[in-house]
Amino acid sequence: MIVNCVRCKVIGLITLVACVRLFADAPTTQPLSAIANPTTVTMSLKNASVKAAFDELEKQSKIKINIAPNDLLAKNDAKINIEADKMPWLEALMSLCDQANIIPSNYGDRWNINQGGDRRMGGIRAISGPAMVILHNVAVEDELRYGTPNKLINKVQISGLICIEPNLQIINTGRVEDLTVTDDQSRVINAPTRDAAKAAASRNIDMGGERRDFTLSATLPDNTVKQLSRVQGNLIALSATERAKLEIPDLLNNAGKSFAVGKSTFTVDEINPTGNMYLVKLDIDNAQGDFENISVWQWRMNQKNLPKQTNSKVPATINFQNVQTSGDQITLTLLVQWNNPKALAEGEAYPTIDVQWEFPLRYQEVKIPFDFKDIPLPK
Amino acid sequence: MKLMSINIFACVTLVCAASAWSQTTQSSVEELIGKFTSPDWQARQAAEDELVNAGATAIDPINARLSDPKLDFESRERLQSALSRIGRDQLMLGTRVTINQTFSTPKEAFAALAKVISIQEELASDNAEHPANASKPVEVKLNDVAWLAALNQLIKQTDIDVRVEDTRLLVLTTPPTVVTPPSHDAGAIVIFPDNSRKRRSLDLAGENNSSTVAMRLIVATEPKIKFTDVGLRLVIRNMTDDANKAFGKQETSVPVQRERDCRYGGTLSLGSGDKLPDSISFMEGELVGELITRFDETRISDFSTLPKTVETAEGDMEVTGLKAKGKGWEVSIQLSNFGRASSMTQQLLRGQSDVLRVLDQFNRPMQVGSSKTTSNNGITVDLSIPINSPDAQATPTAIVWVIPAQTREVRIPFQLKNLKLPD
Repeated sequence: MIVNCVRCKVIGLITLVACVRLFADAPTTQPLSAIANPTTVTMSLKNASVKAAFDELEKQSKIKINIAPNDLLAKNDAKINIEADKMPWLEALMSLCDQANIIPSNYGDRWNINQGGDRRMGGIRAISGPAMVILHNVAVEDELRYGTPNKLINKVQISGLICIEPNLQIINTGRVEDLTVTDDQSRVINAPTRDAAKAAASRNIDMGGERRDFTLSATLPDNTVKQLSRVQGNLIALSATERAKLEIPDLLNNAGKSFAVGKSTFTVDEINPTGNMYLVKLDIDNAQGDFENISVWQWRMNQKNLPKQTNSKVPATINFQNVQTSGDQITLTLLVQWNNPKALAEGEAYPTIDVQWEFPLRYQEVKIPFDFKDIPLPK
Repeated sequence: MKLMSINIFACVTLVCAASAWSQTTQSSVEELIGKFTSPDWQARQAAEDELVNAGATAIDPINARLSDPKLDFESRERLQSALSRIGRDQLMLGTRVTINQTFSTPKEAFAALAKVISIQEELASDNAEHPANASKPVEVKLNDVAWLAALNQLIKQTDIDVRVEDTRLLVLTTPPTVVTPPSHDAGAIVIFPDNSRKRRSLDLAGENNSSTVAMRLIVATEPKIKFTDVGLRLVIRNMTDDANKAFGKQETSVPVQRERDCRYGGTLSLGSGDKLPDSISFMEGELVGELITRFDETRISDFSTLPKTVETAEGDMEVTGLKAKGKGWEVSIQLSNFGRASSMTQQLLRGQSDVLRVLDQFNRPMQVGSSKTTSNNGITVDLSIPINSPDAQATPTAIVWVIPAQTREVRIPFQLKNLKLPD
């Protein structure tokens, strides 16, 4: 078995792209595959146990999958057969899941296998390198608008979700472009111009959220359509191409101190204790140099983008409480919360913490194509 | 929401004139109230009914008696009941309109109708080719008709749609899409279905089909009728399908929320599964609402020095900034210690800024846009609110925060018939 050093290649490529492109440039959409290759695995297993197969997948990809309960895979008596030669990680993962009758779940950059899983991920899927698009629900809505005369409108809504392998960073709200929906009578049934704005809005994707959901809408010409022969388009998203690291030692005793990262300056502005938590205001000056058009607020949806405590005398979690933007300054309110106040001796003050924050600094708009055929409509 | 007080006077004066009601004198009202202590139950009930028949003229004497702390329990109950019934009857009557005139354009006809309830008629577009400007005589014949019914008649007659708002009648450029849905006309309130939806869904993961059907019901009101967001619902008591079979549930409650000025909407689920009805032959129920009968107004004026803070019943409001922006203005407001459960504050946070009124130096109302929350840390909320100027001279000189101070429960029965559903 060969261990591919794909991450090295990805990082190299990302760095190269970051060097030649500054974010202030007008972003040009590129296929995701042009800026990042998928993590691949090479496996040859015959009648392997489920646990052995997943262990091998994790070993090769270095992508952690959380299993709950711990013995879930060991108790699965399915036999796994796979011949993978530089197969994208997502393809290998879904192949193992199919054979073991498992449905995984995906929350931001976390992948889990637990009892039941996320049922929606059992829908129709299309894997495109490091990205997977799944359609999990098709609904036809007949709306009768009362009036003189009554008006009947038939619409189809296709719900799906998008999963990206954890080694990549997909951030910010995405959208769907170039959508083409064709019915079983070869009619293109995209939303008419009149409804275009509404339909476009429904194609937005909360890429930063735990659930990367989207809904595609189209108006059916009549109620004779039994299936959609083709649904194709491109998911457009922002992918992080470079990350930056901010380190603040002794956070709670460093009010007024500044730290430079990239073109921006981070200043610990205000520290307010409240109960077993602290609210810490962090000013980011010259923010437009690094954060233009980026919703810092959405970073909180991805565990990888949250500040972390690096000393662990009494463990604390750090989350975003609020983000305010004013001109070239972003003020970020961090909520520092000690998970177990009982760990402190009576009367003992909350300990200060060292903070390390790694966040996306440069971005590239990427295009993830999808093409589905013969999607049945509900009866 | 429980009643905050008994006074319904403001409600009634908002709702309509009471000219059609019998003119009972103050002394006879007092006499009726005196009968509440009669040992004969029928006499006490008859006195209450007669008091209700007296209508608006009975309101002041009733309120005067209710302020008496020595009033016995039954008299208090009956006076409150009479007030509630008078309020409902007034709502069901609505503002009455009598116009017999020929107008040279649709715009003039709409303006005349708007004037009846003291709101402004405004065209949605400055375009000279607005259909309401067409030189087309409109003969209006309205004799003692409820204002909303009169409006519907004018829409049908002119084939021009309008949107009723708190302070204006916005005349649209498009022909009406919905003019005659089956509706229940309750004077100052009209209940009608906007649409019904049959949704069939296929779960691609398990290839399971499911179906549901639901109907969107609308409560439209005259501009000055206001319900609190939390206190409006439709209780459907009896509903039969096209085969005259009763729906499963005996009673269904449909929460109704404010969609925009003068319009509230709620969705009635009509079932799920394979056997869904094709139409509803009969539906009856009751609109149950917390009617706002009095508003408190808190005013901030003189913006020469900012910030400026006022305390209100809901919390503190600070005007932090006021600046010219584009052709209008932008006001920045910070709310603190506000009542988070208050529907009016919630409306403000949702961008429904009609709870704020902005006046210019000539005391004219300026058009307030939707507020935008610029920050909200759970303790203080910062809002940015755009204001349109009626003309180049207009400068904001006062901000009035309008907060409901008093509500009263009203119940209005309604019926709808022959509602088709999607096939």
